[in-house]
Amino acid sequence: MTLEKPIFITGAGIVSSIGNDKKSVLASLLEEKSGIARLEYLKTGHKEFPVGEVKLSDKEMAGILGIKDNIPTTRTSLMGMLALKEALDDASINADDLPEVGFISGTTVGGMDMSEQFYLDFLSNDTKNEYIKTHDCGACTEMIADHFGTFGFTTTISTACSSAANAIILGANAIRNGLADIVVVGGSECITKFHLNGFNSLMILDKEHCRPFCDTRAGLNLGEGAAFIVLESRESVLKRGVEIKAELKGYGNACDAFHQTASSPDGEGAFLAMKEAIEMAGLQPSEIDYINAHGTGTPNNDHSESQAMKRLFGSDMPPVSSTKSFTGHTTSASGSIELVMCMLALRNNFVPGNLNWQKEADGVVVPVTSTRSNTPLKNILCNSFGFGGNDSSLLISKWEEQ
Amino acid sequence: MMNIERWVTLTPDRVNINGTEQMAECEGKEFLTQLYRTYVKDYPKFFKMDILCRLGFIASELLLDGKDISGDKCSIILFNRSGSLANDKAYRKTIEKENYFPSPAIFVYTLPNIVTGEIAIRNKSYAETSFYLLDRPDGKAIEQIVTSSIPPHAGEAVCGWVECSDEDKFKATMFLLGQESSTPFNAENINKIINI
Amino acid sequence: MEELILNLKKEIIEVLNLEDITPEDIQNDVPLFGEGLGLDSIDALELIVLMEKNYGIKLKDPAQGKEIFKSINVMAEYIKNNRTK
Repeated sequence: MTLEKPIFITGAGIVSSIGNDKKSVLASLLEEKSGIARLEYLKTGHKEFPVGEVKLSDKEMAGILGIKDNIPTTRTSLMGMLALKEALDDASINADDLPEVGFISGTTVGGMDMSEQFYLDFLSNDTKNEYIKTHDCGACTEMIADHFGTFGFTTTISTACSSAANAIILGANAIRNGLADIVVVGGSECITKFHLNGFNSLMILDKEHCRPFCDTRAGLNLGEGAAFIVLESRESVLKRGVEIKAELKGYGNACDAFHQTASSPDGEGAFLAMKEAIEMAGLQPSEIDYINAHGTGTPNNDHSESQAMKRLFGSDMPPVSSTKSFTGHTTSASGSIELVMCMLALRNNFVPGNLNWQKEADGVVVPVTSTRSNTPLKNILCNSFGFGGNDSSLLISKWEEQ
Repeated sequence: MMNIERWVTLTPDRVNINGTEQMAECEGKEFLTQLYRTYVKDYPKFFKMDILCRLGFIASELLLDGKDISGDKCSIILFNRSGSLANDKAYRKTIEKENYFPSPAIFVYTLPNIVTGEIAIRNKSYAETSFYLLDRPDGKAIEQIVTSSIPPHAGEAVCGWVECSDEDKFKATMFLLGQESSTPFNAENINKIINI
Repeated sequence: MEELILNLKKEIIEVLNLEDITPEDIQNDVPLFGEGLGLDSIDALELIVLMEKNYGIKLKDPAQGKEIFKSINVMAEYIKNNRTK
């Protein structure tokens, strides 16, 4: 079923290990500059794992945002505020407009960074109790939103690593169903000891820089960051006279229904999600010019996702890459972070490279290994899969006035 | 327009299916096990699930009562306030300095949306799954999110509130939506049933 | 060895939440994975934690587990030869 009403993207903001705004992220992608490095900001004994940290301390972010020292915040909300600020500015939305604007953010970690830091204080004394209320995922969304004013509605989605992609889907559905004309959607997530230890217990963290789709791949690197995009109806775009940056032409979500965390051998959920997105856009698979893959670098994901892509695209495989080779896996925020990268690719005509790839693997697609500039792109598919078998695919297209 | 075909509410001391209430003989987590032994019996994976998944799983089994929702037409959309808090606490104990053995089996349940995955796996459903956090079971928000998420051609959906802040402190209200009944899925009816 | 095998079975039942299974149900020479107990990849990871926690044996690679968790007999033999506690 194709979209009856077009849904436009009129703004975007991003904070990631390869840059704290669109301009610097674009430069890093073009120069193939990875943000994966030794742990610097998170305090943990696990220094052996490279990570994609945002290169700002909490204090520095609070400083940029003008938030006083005594106000309790979390890293997830601070990164979210920086990205949201860029997105709102980009779409020329100011505080007076917010009551007419929806805000949907995806996160799973929420305020865990502060809770794990102060948990013993929570139990033994009252010095850090103000941080108890910053713990819930919903609280992080509220903090991000409240920094800018009062949105018409805000909600939080938590579907593991596809959270931000699903926030985008809910926002698009809200516009499609006439519930809103402008919805700001995306996600934010910081690295915590909680999930660094958890991913380590699953033995899917690589001690080297991750190598998505490579035969030697041995797991993922954790990353962090935030990104938001502004979705807008045609009526609202015309009324406000803002520039259309891209069109969200299709999206799909399907359940792999195979295992709590592992992807199925044939990638059924991924296949269904991509197929749904392409059908909604009214396109053929051959019209997709680039796939920004989920591509975590784990043996399981990259094989399963490759199978799904091979089933859908056959021998006509478009260029594929995983930008997680630049940022690490930014978990709940990855869906919007990677969609913003796709927007940059779309508007600047390049295919981001899949860094560190060395050798073809059985049953796994061969990605684009270095950034290809001067490559005109029209339609891009962006995959985002989460534990729970929650698989989403988004399709953005270049907007040309007909 | 979707209607409420059937509903279930489940708390540590009682279960109510479409208005028929049954009191628990044992309380809390044990009650869920008792319901499993009475109504499900043959799905040992139940014992591997964390408390939130056990709650959502049992509620969905009672709600569906053998109804086939396999394929890609029945969305599963759930809501709560505390995410996977009860299990997060259990996992945290495994990463304490004094006894540091991070448990993979507990970690995989530190995500609230695993419950939608477990229900999908049990029912072989490849349809849309989603999980939202709200500060309270707000009928209006639930109605808006669910109705705008379900594709117009979709026949049915499973949705509801599945909250569990502690092993013995939980509440689930789950709805089966379809076209047949005459009880509209709207904020008023959602609130009424959740508050029963 | 028999005591080790019985303890090991009890530990496996406990950490993997095999609620309705008793030590007698687990045969010594039958594959732990594949059929029978219905174990999956997460169970294998949990057994790796068990090896370290209870016997002081650190396995670095899930692939190693595949060999060691072939059966209770193989697992007990490996523990006997490599345990540090």
